[in-house]
Amino acid sequence: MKIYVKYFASIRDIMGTECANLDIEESISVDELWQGLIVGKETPQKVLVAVNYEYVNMNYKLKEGDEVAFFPPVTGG
Amino acid sequence: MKTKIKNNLKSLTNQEIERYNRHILLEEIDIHGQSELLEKHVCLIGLGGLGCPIAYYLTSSGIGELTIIDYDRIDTTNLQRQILFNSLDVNKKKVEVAFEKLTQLNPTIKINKVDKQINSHINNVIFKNCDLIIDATDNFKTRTIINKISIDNKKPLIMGSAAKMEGQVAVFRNDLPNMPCYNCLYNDLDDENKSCLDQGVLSSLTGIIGSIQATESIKLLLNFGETLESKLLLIDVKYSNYRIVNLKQDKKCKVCS
Repeated sequence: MKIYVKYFASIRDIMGTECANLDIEESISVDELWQGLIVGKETPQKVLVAVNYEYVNMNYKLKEGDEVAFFPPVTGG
Repeated sequence: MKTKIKNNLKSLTNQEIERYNRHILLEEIDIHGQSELLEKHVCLIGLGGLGCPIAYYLTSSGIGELTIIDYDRIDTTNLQRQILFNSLDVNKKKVEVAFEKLTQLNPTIKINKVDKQINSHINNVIFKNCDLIIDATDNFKTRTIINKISIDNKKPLIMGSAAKMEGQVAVFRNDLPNMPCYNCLYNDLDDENKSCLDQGVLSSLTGIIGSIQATESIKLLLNFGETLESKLLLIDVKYSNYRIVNLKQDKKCKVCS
């Protein structure tokens, strides 16, 4: 199934791209997707995710056409 | 001479009408909204890169009572972004210098200074009579305590954060039931997450985030427009990317559910 992935802020720097159109297996979770995406990259301590502009946890099961946005936590000030 | 305001709100003096003229000209605020603002009390926690612009704008906007809370002293490395302070203020207490400068900016409002570090034992009385709490601190541990304080006292919370070239703002309606809280978003971070003590931050980014927090405060206090209620604004100034993400209450949240 096809999904669209977008990377924000420092996650974009780590991934080296702003976005990607991907063809993935059915019913994998966001976490499984992420583990595949970061192979060979510098692993950030923590990543957050929104699917179709809704904040979800990493167990979310992806569906055809989902837009998945990965972004870093920010706690400084 | 005083101008009468409806709904038993405090009357504005001619001086106040002149001072807040550009607010009063806005139909969303008007003389009634300005009068309401002068009756509001905001607790601002943190006088760093975010807290400085927030304090400036809330003071100049005519928030009637502002409680500023910080335990720290001014360091030379603060001066790159903490715009309330200058070179002559180094080593002085932030609350003292901020109190002095904010009083000069607007001597007509009440400013309370609290020289305390936020911890789980802090006296809730500080927050009991405020209308809103603003989190302008710099680490996860303190932010979770502030979230708990906000829930315990049923006060809305405006959270802002900034690091490197990225920032976030959210409005948590911890005064209302079944709403997402800070811990629904961040439930398993730890203190290894770095504050600006050990990572860089772009000076103007803290101004952007702090200014949005101040703007959300005024909108929330006067109930106009749409706030970032139960939304997380992501700001990435390096690549000029901005996005709003919707938040939902985590039914398994250990803090609010």
